Amino acid sequence: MKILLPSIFACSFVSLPLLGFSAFPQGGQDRPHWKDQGDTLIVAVSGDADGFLPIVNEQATAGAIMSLIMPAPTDSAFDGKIITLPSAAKSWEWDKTHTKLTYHFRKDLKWTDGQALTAEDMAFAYKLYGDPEVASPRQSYLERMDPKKPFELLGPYTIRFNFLWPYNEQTMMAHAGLSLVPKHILEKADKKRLLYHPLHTTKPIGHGPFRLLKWVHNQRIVISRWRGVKTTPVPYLKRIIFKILPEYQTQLKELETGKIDMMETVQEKDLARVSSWKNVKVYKRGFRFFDYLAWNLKNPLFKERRVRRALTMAINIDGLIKALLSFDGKVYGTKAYSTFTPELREFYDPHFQFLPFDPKKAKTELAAMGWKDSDGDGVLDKDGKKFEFTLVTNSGNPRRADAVQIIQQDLAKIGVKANLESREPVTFFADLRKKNFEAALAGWSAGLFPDPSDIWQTPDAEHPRLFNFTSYSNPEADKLIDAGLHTANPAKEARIWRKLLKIIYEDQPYTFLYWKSSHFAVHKRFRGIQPNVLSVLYRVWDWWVPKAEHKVKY
Amino acid sequence: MFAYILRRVLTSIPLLFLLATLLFILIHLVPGDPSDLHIGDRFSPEYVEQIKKNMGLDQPVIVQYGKWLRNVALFDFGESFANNRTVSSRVLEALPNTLLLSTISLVLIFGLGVLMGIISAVRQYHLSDFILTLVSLFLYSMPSFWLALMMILLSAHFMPSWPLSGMVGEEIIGKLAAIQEAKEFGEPLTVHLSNWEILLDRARHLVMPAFALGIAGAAGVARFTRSSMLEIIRQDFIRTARAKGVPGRMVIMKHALRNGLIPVITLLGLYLPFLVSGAVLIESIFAWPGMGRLIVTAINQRDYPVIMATSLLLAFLVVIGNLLADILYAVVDPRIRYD
Amino acid sequence: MTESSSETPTFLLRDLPGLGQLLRGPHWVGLGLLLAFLLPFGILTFVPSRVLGTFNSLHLWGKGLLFLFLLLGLMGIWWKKVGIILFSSGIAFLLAFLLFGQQWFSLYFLVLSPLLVWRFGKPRKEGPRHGKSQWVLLSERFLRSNLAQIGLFGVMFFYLITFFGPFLWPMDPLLQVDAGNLKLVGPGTHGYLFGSDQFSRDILSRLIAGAWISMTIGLFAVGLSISLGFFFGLMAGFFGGWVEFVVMRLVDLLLGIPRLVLLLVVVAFFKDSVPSQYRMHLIVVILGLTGWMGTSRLVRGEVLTIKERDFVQAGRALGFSNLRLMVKHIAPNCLAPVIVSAALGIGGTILVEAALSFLGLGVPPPTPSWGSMVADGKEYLTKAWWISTLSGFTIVAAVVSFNLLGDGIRDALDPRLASKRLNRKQMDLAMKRAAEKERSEKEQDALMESPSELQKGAS
Repeated sequence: MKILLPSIFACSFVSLPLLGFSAFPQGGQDRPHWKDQGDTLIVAVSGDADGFLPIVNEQATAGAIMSLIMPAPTDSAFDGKIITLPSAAKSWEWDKTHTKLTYHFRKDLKWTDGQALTAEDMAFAYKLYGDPEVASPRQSYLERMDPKKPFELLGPYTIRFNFLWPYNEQTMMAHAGLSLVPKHILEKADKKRLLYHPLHTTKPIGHGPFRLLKWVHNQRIVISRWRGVKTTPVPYLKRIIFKILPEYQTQLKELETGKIDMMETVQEKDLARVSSWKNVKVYKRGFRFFDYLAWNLKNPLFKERRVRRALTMAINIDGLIKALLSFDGKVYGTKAYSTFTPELREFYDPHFQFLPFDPKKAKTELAAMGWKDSDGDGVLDKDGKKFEFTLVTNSGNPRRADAVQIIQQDLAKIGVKANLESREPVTFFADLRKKNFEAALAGWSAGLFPDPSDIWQTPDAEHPRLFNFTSYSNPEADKLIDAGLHTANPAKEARIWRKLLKIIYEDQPYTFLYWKSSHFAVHKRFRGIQPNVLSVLYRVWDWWVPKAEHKVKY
Repeated sequence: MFAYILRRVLTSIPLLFLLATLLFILIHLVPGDPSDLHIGDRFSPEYVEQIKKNMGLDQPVIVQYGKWLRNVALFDFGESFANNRTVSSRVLEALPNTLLLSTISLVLIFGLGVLMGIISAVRQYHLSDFILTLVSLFLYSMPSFWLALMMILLSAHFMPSWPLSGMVGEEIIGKLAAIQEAKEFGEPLTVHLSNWEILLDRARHLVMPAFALGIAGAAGVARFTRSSMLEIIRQDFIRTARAKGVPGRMVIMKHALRNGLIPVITLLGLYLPFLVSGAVLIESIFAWPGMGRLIVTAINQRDYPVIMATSLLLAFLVVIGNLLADILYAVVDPRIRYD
Repeated sequence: MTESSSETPTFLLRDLPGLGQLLRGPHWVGLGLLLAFLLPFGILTFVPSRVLGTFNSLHLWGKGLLFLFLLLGLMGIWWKKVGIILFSSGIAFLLAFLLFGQQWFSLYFLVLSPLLVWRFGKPRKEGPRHGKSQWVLLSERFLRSNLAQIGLFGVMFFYLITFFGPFLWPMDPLLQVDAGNLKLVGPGTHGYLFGSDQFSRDILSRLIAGAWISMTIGLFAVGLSISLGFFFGLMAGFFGGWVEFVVMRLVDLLLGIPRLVLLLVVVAFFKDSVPSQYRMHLIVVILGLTGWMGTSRLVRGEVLTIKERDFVQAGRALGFSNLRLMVKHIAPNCLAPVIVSAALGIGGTILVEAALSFLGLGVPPPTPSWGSMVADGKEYLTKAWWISTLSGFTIVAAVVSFNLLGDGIRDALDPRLASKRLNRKQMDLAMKRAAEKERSEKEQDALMESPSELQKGAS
């Protein structure tokens, strides 16, 4: 939930709308006795929330809290891929063409203000999501639905979504699985000013296991359990306090002294130390984040694939992992070869053939392309032009700031000069979009739905492909992506994606660096925690503290 | 006297107008666009256009300027780009926290500073003067953010449970929440919270930031007080008083102090904007939710309305501060005539 | 001051500059001079290859201009013309800052430093009491205070570090020795005297290299703001009327914007439109443009009082031009307080630059600067305390030096505040001198030969 702008894409794509709820706990765990209910969880978060209305919410911290207040109609679990589970929508069915999805809602649900929750709320929510005047950041979720009739209300508790063509089932359900909003409140609201609606800014009304108690800006957000919740069990924890602590070091210290109970992210360098603390337990969440070096293919320096491959061979990625992600004898990262996380097991190839780390070969390759150090100043040149470029990254991320400096050294060894620049996140991300960079070190937090189109497909009039920062364009890849996005057959899809990833890796528009596993730490008295790649607060309503260990008794 | 004050107040008004204009120009010179802020997943150019329109950024600069001046006059700074709330509500929320912190540290600055200054002036050439001068020199030359870091480092060793961030302790937050839950959601009430407890908790949270913020300032004031006192002590009327046999303590208290502190009062006026802006770095380090942190985050997020409102507020305070200092000076020092 | 009464100075005392002062006082100045004299020889003895390598890496232009400025400097030293030396080294420093970089200037200074000290740094013989210029009196009063001497020594020390940095650092400050195994190594281990950072870079070397950023930004930013402030203050004070009105209102206006906030806004917003190698220059310009107001107020005040003095009035009566009055008669007389505010200002500017770097708005990495090293260390505060702590101490030491220097000069200018009590003998001497000074002042005023005591000292 740390605000890393370049990561927002996948963060909100996955964890917000899909972090739903289920009455069926996984793993056959016995729920503890109700007498153990109570106690408070204090979570440190690094930034304030923006607001809790799913239609206009953009920021990840708020999104995670929102999913506990206004959850999506379906719940999800993860086992190599996303699995959709019933929640407010108790069942669903597909038609024969696999383009029409019908949800059946539970009839006994209520909003916290006592009004009934029906499929009408869902229809209303989707009307807003799709309305250009609302300018919802999730407008594109309706892109592959029938523009004339994206959804139809078939009854008070039944709604049908009409897709244009069948594709990956999980992705389709995600597109039709955005959070509900209370129609009876938003009906009269000014559509253009939803950002300023009290439902967003002060008093969200939901149907989830928690409701907002207090939000003191820049200090804390307190949510309390709602005993009237039906889509999930009533939580054991009485309340959760999100304490806003921008400084990582302070978070760490407060975790040690027991002032907070949970940190969403523990950096790799501190893991050994945090694990050794008596009162804290560290949980591993799997690979969700990866860093990459993007080459701007519009730049004459990086136009040639051979040059990019040579640059990749010059960078010691294993050394980078050793320097940045291994501490105290443990390694917390793995080499990356694509934008698909290793967690998506269907598409991941553990025996992938990486380009070797071979500076000598990199040098001869560049020499073969005409890049030689003719004036003896240590920097390669060709036709009087030096191999020199600016490598930018965003400020505020110590790992990336460290990575660029190591990469700079590696490149200097083969005579390539990289000048470093760090830009503030807002500018950095805007510059990436505008392709106003030469080379950039950035990161994605991986989506758990396979859709490479935004990053790798050639832009056209209809699809600006805003995340194709490198201006990558390969007709073969385009064709494969189209095919992959038009099949609902998992085996065929997996074949297509594996082939695509190989092609993209050969082209090296990115130098893929590493996936890093993320870790969170929670006070030892909390039980029932299921570390999950979906979210840190996964099924927090199942978390509990034995009565004897309760710290907060009020 | 009254005419003088009136004249000073009136000349301040065009100054404020010019400041508002200057700020507007400065911020509009800056490359970049606040709509860059709104980055959702998969936004389209139309979406960005729409956002710009909603923010009024599509209008010509001169129209924006006119609106800005009107709004400044009406104390209406519009809505923050970054989190869709009014600027004034954000400022009003942060201002009391900053005022609390900076008032405490201002008391520390002047209390401690003047005391140290007087001691070392009176005991000039003694060991205590030497030590105080040296200590204040070091503190004065210390970056406040470094001092804060060192305090964190040391407290981690010596008093690990002392609060280092925020302004309310976890226990108080929990109890407040329990009370609110009882009131709003009908949960059983099992807790009692006294005002005394809240006050004590706040005081504990204030210690570190106020100290980190105040100590460098106190050293500065001490240096200033010392030299201003020394200047007075050497003057004829003090020598005369001593020669007349007035006891040493009396001379210091009655004659030297009154005159020596006049320049210190001027300094007090100059510290007025510090009340609001002094804590830019310290507030960020100690997670104090005040103006300093508001300014830093606003700058990072290019939240123009917030930046403009806060800078203008600060500029306003500087002008008032100068004015106040001059008036105070006129009141305290009868030798100065204003016509 | 220097009681150099020994009848037969030994060979060393005569020819090793600084040693005499070190042994007989002013000790600290002696130490500084000795360092400035011996360091270049040490460098040439122990790391000749580094010097040679640096020289070879220069472009043709760099080499040519190096020789040109060295020649100019040597001429100044030969004829003992302070003006020429100042001009040569000042322009060379500026060139290094704008174009050629630290290495170029360190070569220049390597040659100039020992010669300069050798020519000027020997203990001065006790001259005749009569005709001592104000500058000599000032320096005598200044050197009487130990603290002031320490300040001077500190400033000398830090500038020596700055200028000789490329020959002094034990490792390349950008070199990552072994980022996998030697990161965050504690002080005194694995050959790291001050420990290593998260890239296994040497903290000591980075501190030495960081001096270049802090000290040059301090000097140039204050140079810029002092020049601007001096110019505007002089104009406002001398001409009065609408010039004064406009300038002083401008000053009020600019003082109305809180400096740190102004800096944050301006640097944060403009840094992305300036290439990273010019970020340092941007910071100098911004710091310079936002710091001149105080000086201009100060200078205006001085000018207002000096304008009324007899020698200026006499000059007017004799029909001197405004320009001549301003440049030759008024400006030199308000120089002294400006020097004090410059010395104190550099200290303040180093702090401001450190704060900017701490917020990530300073010179971009991997170039080390003290403020950004404190910020880097913040991430590792509990795991590697030495990074932040030692960088912070360095900042404090540098700023303390400048403050001591500034205080010392101020006390020397204003003998009433001198921080050391005079004994009776000294008191008699001082009174005698004061009387002499008054007499000579009167004579000078009457003769109108050299109305400015300070100017006399400078020439």
